[in-house]
Amino acid sequence: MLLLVLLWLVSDATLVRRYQRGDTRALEQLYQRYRSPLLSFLSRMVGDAADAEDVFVETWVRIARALPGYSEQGKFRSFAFTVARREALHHLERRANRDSRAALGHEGNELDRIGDGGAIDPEEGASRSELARRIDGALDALSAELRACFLLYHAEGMTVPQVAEATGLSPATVKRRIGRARAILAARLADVRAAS
Amino acid sequence: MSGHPRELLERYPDLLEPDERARVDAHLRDCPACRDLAAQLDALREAAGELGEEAFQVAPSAALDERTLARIRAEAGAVHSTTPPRRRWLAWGIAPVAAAALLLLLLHPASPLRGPDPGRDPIHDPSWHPKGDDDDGPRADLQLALLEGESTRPLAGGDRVPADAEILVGGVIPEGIVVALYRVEGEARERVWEGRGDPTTAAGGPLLSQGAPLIVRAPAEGGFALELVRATAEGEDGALLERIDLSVEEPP
Repeated sequence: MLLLVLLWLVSDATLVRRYQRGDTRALEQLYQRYRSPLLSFLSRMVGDAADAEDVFVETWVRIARALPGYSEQGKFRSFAFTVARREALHHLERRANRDSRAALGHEGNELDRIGDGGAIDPEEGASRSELARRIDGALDALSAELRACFLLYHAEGMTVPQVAEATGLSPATVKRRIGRARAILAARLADVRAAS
Repeated sequence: MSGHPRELLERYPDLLEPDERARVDAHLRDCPACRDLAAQLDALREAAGELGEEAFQVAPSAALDERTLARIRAEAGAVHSTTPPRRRWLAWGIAPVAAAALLLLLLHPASPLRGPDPGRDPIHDPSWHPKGDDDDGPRADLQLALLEGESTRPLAGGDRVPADAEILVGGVIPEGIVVALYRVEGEARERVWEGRGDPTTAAGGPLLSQGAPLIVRAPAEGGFALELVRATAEGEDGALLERIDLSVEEPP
């Protein structure tokens, strides 16, 4: 009971309101709550660990700067990931000149590339965690936009409307991008499997 | 491979509309190749959910924490030095434990803070008691507690409080009833909160100000009152439901 009450008292909305009234400690509590999910998201978005740390710091600075004017206090999580995604995309844009990633508009049907061996054997003994590890290692096959939608939906457990809010995309586009990401990842895993 | 709904298969089954899903289901019944792909994508989808679990999370190093928090503090200091507080009478920097203590008192069935308080004789609108029975029907009660460090002390009307004391305001109000809370100091009357009783899973029923603790600061001298007023959704005030007067202790 005490725990429930405490959890209620320190809801994101409460902390946002406290920060908006000048309590810096409230933002530090939000930081403690979201530091790992945001750094994990950024590490997967940016790829390079050192770059991810720089973008992580910049993301929190942006949050600290923007939060006083933010009116949707109950949606801090979406707000934080919106800022993180934007910072990651800015970073990747700056890096794009020297590092071309998979094209967003790629129209090939990756599922047709998956041979008889398949990308994943659902009956295979490999655990789900092992497959998750392989997926984690294959994320660089995705464009930044596809990766953001895929991670927010699958890793962060957001709903399609929440991903749409965090990315500024329509729900239909979000669905298409998540689907594309799945197909590309399945094809990448099939390539790795065939090569090994 | 033409004729296979591959684009739909990418989004199968969770990202499809019902009619699209029905089309894919029908196709899968007759297409072993697509069934195999669907099974692979299903395994991928389930495994991807693990990426959000702790084992796959990256925790910032102590150095990164320190670096980020330093930047946050510097930025927050700069932001708040140029942004005046919205409502100075409200202070949110309370100890959660203290607030929790008052709420536990509010929610506990045997709490002395619940139920009628003959000493205060609050003014009740009859509509607070839809069953017409004070013992059975939901009732409105303002509950106050003086914040003293990490603890709280229940307050009643007529009590004396220290100058500038922080007072936690709670209460149980019937669900769906709109109320406004005023802070009255001399001629000044300020509307400090409005809303309706929110449903809660806790045993105490709908609470005043669910979602954030409500704190009022006492003046430096004299006294002040809190008034709970029936209101409409459009913001118009109705009957006075309860008034609690508090006075400020004289300096020694």
